[in-house]
This record gives sequence, C-alpha cells and structure tokens, in this order.
Amino acid sequence: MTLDKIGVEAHDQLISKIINGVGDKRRRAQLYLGTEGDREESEKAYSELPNGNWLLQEARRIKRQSIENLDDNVKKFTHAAEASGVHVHFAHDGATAVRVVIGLANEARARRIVKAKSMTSEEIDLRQHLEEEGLGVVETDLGERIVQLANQRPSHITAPALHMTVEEITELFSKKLGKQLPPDPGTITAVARESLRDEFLQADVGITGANFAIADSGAIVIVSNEGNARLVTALPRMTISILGSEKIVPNTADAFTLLQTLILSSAARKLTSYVTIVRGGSKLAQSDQPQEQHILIIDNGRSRMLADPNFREALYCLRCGACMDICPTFRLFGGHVFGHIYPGPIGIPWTEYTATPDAAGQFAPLCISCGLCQSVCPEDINIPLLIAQVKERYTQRHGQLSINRTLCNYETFVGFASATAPISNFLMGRKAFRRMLQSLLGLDARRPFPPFNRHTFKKWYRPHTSTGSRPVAYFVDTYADMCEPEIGKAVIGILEYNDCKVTLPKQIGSGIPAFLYGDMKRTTRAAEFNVPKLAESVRDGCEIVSSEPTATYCLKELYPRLLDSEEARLVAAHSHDLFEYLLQLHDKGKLRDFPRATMGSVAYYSPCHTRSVYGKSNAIEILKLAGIDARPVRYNTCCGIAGTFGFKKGPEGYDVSMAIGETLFERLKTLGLSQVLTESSVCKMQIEHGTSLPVNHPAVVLWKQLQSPRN
Amino acid sequence: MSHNLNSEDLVIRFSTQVKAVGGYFTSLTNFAEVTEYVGKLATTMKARRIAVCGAGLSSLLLIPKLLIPCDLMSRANMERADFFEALKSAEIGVTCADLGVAETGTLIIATTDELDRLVTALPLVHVAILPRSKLVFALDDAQKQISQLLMNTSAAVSISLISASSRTSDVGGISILGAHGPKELHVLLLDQDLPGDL
Repeated sequence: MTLDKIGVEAHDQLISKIINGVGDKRRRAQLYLGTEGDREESEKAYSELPNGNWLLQEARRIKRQSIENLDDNVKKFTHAAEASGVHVHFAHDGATAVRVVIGLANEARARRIVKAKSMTSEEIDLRQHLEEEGLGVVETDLGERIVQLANQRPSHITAPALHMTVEEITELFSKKLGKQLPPDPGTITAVARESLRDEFLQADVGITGANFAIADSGAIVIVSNEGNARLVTALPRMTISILGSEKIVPNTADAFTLLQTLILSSAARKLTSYVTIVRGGSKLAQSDQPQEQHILIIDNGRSRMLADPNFREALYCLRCGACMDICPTFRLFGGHVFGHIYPGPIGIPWTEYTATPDAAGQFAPLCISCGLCQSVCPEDINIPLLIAQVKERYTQRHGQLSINRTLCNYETFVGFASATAPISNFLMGRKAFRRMLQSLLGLDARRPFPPFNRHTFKKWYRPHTSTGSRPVAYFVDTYADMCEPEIGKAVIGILEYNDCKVTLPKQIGSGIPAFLYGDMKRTTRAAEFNVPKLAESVRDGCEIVSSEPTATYCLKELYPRLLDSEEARLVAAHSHDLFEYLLQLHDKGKLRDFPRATMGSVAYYSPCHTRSVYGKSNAIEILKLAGIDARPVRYNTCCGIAGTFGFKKGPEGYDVSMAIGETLFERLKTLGLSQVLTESSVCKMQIEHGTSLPVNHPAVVLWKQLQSPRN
Repeated sequence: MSHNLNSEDLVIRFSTQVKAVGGYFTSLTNFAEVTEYVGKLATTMKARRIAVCGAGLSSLLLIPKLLIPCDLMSRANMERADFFEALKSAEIGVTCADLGVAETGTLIIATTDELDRLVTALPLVHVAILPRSKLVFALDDAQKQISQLLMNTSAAVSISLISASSRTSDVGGISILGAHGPKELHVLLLDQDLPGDL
C-alpha cells in the first residue's frame, strides 16, 4: 500500500527535520560530544566489578518477575505506603493523573511548586497543564530548568539539555536574570543555585518522579547528583511523587540491584552522589508537623503494554539512556527529532503506548536496525524488534514509501543483477542510468553499488566436495554469494584447512532488508525457509557458520524471536560467526596454526551486528593469532549505511548515513593504514565510499595468507 | 566478593572511594580532633555559621570560641524555627552518619525529621562524622540494614545515601560541583563512638 495522506505529511515533516538536523553542524557537534565515550566507560565499570555479570543477570530476573506480578506489586505497595500515612492515588490515564495533581495543589493552596526531574510527568504534560491552571512550576534539575527556560522538552532521558551549547544556555540565563553572564558552566551553575534556592524555601508543593518503588515497605527511591530531589522532598509542606506502575519492585534488595544497574549503565559509576529513599512524611523543618506525602501511580498505557506479548518487554526499561548514547541516528539528531516525548530507541515503543501509535510511527524510520541499542541495554530488551513492530503497524495503517517497498525486495534485486552481470555492472557504472534510478526509484546516484557476479559462490560450490572430519554447514547470505564470491571461497578454504567438512544447506538470503522497513512478514518467511533446512544440518551433527555479521544476527537473535520455535532456538544455539567458530577450535587446541603473516598493519572496524551479538569482536582475536597487526578503530556507533538505508536518496538515507559515518571516516584516515578489515559487506561499501581505502573481509585476507607461495 | 577484609583494608577501600569522587577523607582518633578539624575548616573558609545536628555532636558547643571562630548552632538546644532560620545561612553542616559502605564510599544517614536531613543538604559544606564501628564492606550489608529499618516499623523515614558532593554536568557536559547541595563533602572517620551516640 502506498502512503496515505497522514503518512505523506508525517514523512515530509520528518524529512524537513532531517534536512535541518544534518545541516546544523554546531548542534551535531554538541550532540556527538554529549554522547561520546559513555558506553566505553560503562562497560569498563561493569567489568571492574567482581559481580558485574551477576548484577545484570539479577536485574533481568527482577524486572521480568516484577512486570509479571505488576498488579500484585501495585496492591502491596499501596498497602504498605498507606500504612505509613502516605496517600496513594491511581490514575488510569494522563488526564486523570493531571486532574489528581491539580486537585492536590489547589487543596494545598499552592502558590509555588518546585519539581524534580520526572519523565513520567513529561509523559502526561504535567507542567504544561499545571501552568494552564495558573499554577507556576519551577523545574529544579538544572538540565530541566534549562529546557523549561528555552520552552523545550528534554532531548535526552538523563541529560535533558544535552543538545544545548554553553553559549545557548548562557543566553537563556542572561535573559532570565536581565544581566549578561559569561559563558562559563561554573558561573551558570552558581547562578542557578542561588536563584533556585529561594524557590525551594518558598515552595508549598514538591513534585518528583521515582526511579523505583518498593512494594513491601511502601518506600520510593530517587536518584540524583545535584541534590535537588532532596530539597524538593524535604522542604515543601506537600510532596507528590509520580511513578509508572512498572517502577515497583518487590523488596529493598531488588531495588538496590536495579539501582546499581541503572547507575552503572547511565553514568558508569557505582552510585550517584545521592540516592534518597523516602517513606511517609517526616517532620517538617518549619512547623514540627509531618509532611503530607502523596504518591500517584499511573497506568497510561502500561497495562495494555503488559497485555501485549510483543511489547511487554518495553516495560523492563530502567530509563538509563544507554540506548540513546549508542544509537547512530540519535547521536546525530538528538531527542527533539528522534523522539516524541520519550526520546531515542526505547522511546519508540514507549511512545506507541503512552502517546499514540502514529506519534511513534512518525519517528520510527530513524531507527536503522543496527541492533546496538540491545547490546548496551542492561535489561537486554530487544529494542530493534519492538521498533520493527511499530514500523509494521504504522505501514499497515498508513502505507509504505515506495522506495522502502522496493528495498524490501533487495535480495531479489541482487539476484537479478547478478544473473545479468556484467551488463548490470556496466549500467550501474553509468551516471545516466544512476540518475534514472534516482528519479525513478529513489536510489541515491552517489552511492556506489556492489559489484554483481554471475559466477556466484553457490555455482562454484556445487561440484565441490569437502572431506574433513568436522561437519559444518555454511550460511552464505546474499553478498558473499552473488557480489563477492571470493569471501565464500575463503571461508570454505579456512574451514577445510581446519579439517572441516563443509556443506551448503539449501538457503535463501536472511530477509533482513525487509526488517529494516518493518516488513516483518517477509523476514519471517525467510526465517521459515532457512530454519528447517539449517535445523536439519544441526541434527546431522553440523555447526552452522556464517561470514556475514547480519546473517549471524538473524540466526542467533532474530529468527528465534520471530518464529519462537524449538527449531529456531536449536539453530541459534549452533550458529556462529566464522571467527567465533575458529576461536572455539582454538580453545579446544584444535585450530591449525596460520603461517606467518606477510602483510603490514591494517585497521579493523567491528560491525554493529557483531558487537550486538557478541559484545566484542572474534575476528580480531583470530587475526592476532595469525600474526596480523589489526588495529581496531575506536568508534561507539554504527558506520551509518545500515543495510540498504544508505542507498536511499538524499535526506531519505544517503545524507544521514554519510553524516553518521563522518567521524569514523576521519578516524580511519587518521590511522594512516593502507587497508581496513571488516566482516560486514555493507560496512565495507560505506567505508570504501567514505575513505577511498580498500576494505576487505578478514577471511579473504587470512585465506590469502594461507595460500601465499611463501607458505 | 570478599567480605573478610580487616579493619584497615576496609578503611583504605572506603577512603579511596570517597576521594575518587572528590570527597575529603580524614581518620581521627578522638573527639578533640574533630573539633580541631571543624575549627580549621571554618577558619579556612571564613565561615560565619556552623549548623550541628545529631546526638552527641552538641558537645561541640563546649568548645572555646578560639577553636571555632564562628556561630555554632545546635539542633539540641535551639528552637526549631530559630535553627531552621540559621541553617539557611550556615556555610557548614556537621552531622553524624549511621553507616559507611567501603566498596562504594557511601554514607548512609537515616532521618525522621527533615530539619536533620537539611543539615546535610543546604550548607555549602557537609562534614559527616562516621564512627569506625559503623563501617561495613558491601552495599549489600547496608541494604539489609535499610530493609530491616523499613520493615520493622511503618513510621515515616528518609534514608540518604551520600556518595559524593552535589554536582551537575548539565551545562555543556562539564562537571561542576555544588549544584544544589554541598560543594564539599568531608568524611571524618572517628575511632571512638560519639558521646551519647545513636
């Protein structure tokens, strides 16, 4: 179905935001800086803990169980909190929640309200509604205060003003205070402290969120570095804490596990400056009377999310923001483009349920399915799958862009181009033909196509017989079959060198190109074709090996989720990327020595889907064993091409993909090495295009080394 | 996780963690040294007001003016309203801590009166006195005690876990201390328990 009117309007709006975003170099630099390095620090912090892995495992267990027993937890929490004199309210939707807060504020005859950071309050537009009622609200988290003064929304879940430069923030405060301030973070912070101190002391009502709520004791837990949440909860006569029902955990031990996980994943620290646990109204400083404490639990779509087996896992989110700091498009655009109220990757499924499905579907195309978000999610939420489902539902309601429909057929297209090579290659090299493809189909004329080869790997393999003793089934995928059969041949060569008997089960392409555009049916069909054939090989004793990271991602991560079958899980458990398989041989002492390396140092880039599946690169270990000095380029996000995304014309894909890759290209060029190695076929195309450096699959290099006449 | 650290190792772990995030750590043998420390700090800062809260700490009031050259105000012998007023302009807040956690460098302070909590939150400098006997190794040990505290009664309580001074990186991603709470956190590990303590 082609895009309907709503779809077209939404798409046009998104494209205009993309054009502005790509063109705004200053904003891009600020966003990039704000999200840079966080992931590395966080990984390091986990690895330095004696119980880092245990924490993550526990955090997953706790969240899964808490969500399973959500209703029960709400009941227990309410009971315990009320026993401590806390007033607990429940709101089914945002409008009710807002009414409750306005009612309480009026009851308290509130003249001044101070507020600590709360995404849940953003979700229901609380501040805006209170202001409409004439109730002034002052945000006290400095980042929130900045976006309040700028009349914006937070652009990041933990760093609301991440997108703003020091100069912009200085202007805001200068204007507010009526005097020019120097553009100095220390001065701005001091000025904010001074001006907000009075607000705290005068406030009648304090509004906070909660990071966790503890069912057995009725306490809430609030994390902060600034200490504003402490003042918001200590000074006003009345406090109102708003929390989503998914924040409740059974007991203090569980809250502490999640607390540490949240802080490690968001800030790479063991604890933030302050963690405040509050239960009931303590005696007030000014009057000796107990403070009036209210807790408002909101549902606002959560029970529908819970009831939807495909979306339930979104409720495991701890709101750490890790998925944002690693997401290539989020890092480029920030949460004002890549977000509705909840920003970033996890913001897409959250918007689907807490705002509207259309609001979610409108920015969902910014997800380019690199899979990195899941790899850093402490709760291991399959965010890419959640987003693909948002895309699917949106296209069912409003249709699909014609270029996306075309690219869902990418594998068929490659098959055709391969069969017609070298004519297809000749045509693809003609500027006029490329211009025609650009205007007819929307494929950017600047993006080089891979070479197509009529002598496919599969044809080459057919007469081939393998005689080793270790049974291996090779899943070749599209590129190594029809574009660069040398990769497939190298894989066979390396495996046979290690005494593997390689078979090629009947198979089709992985189906991932359709996944990117939310055509889940097509990807599922590919899974349904491939899984039974590969399962048969596994039952025959084979391990499955793939040389394309995206194929490994499909076999190990995606297919089991799409099919939810024993067979798919069997295939997943026996699937490996080539280098993982070789490393396992090495660990068993069964890997044959590689002859001495004859090549100089090379750069190495680890593809997203390798990082997503393994959290590390196996290839670099094998290259090291083979004596090849492969130097990994430090890079925290995707190269930008993301399958077929970077093929789409201009702001639809190409411009975005090149803007994302910019830093990677610079870093690779700075390394000053003559060759780049990477396992992914699309990363190869992107890096070659962006750097003009030759890029090779590590298997090709290793196979050449094995065949070298000197050896 | 090793919980079998001896007392000295525990102190080293604790102080390393406190200092790693910019906190000040000093180990003191007796209460007279606490007085001396606070006195020097007040002199260096040219502080005019010190707010003191916590059982036992009011004995700081017995100190000659010479040692602490500014107004010392104690929760123990002031009217509530007067203390709160004075607290708003106090530069230093002195409190006890109920527990210290070595592996995270965290102080844990439980309060049932916001006036007590505010002494740790409003002044620019927070001095916390932690008796050595209250130092535990793991956050999990502290968690168990907090859990007990919450479960044994349904009374109102605020529990503050303080691991560093107040800070923000919201302006241009640069870390600035003293956002809304204390700019400096001084942890005084005391060999003896406080007089009339806890």
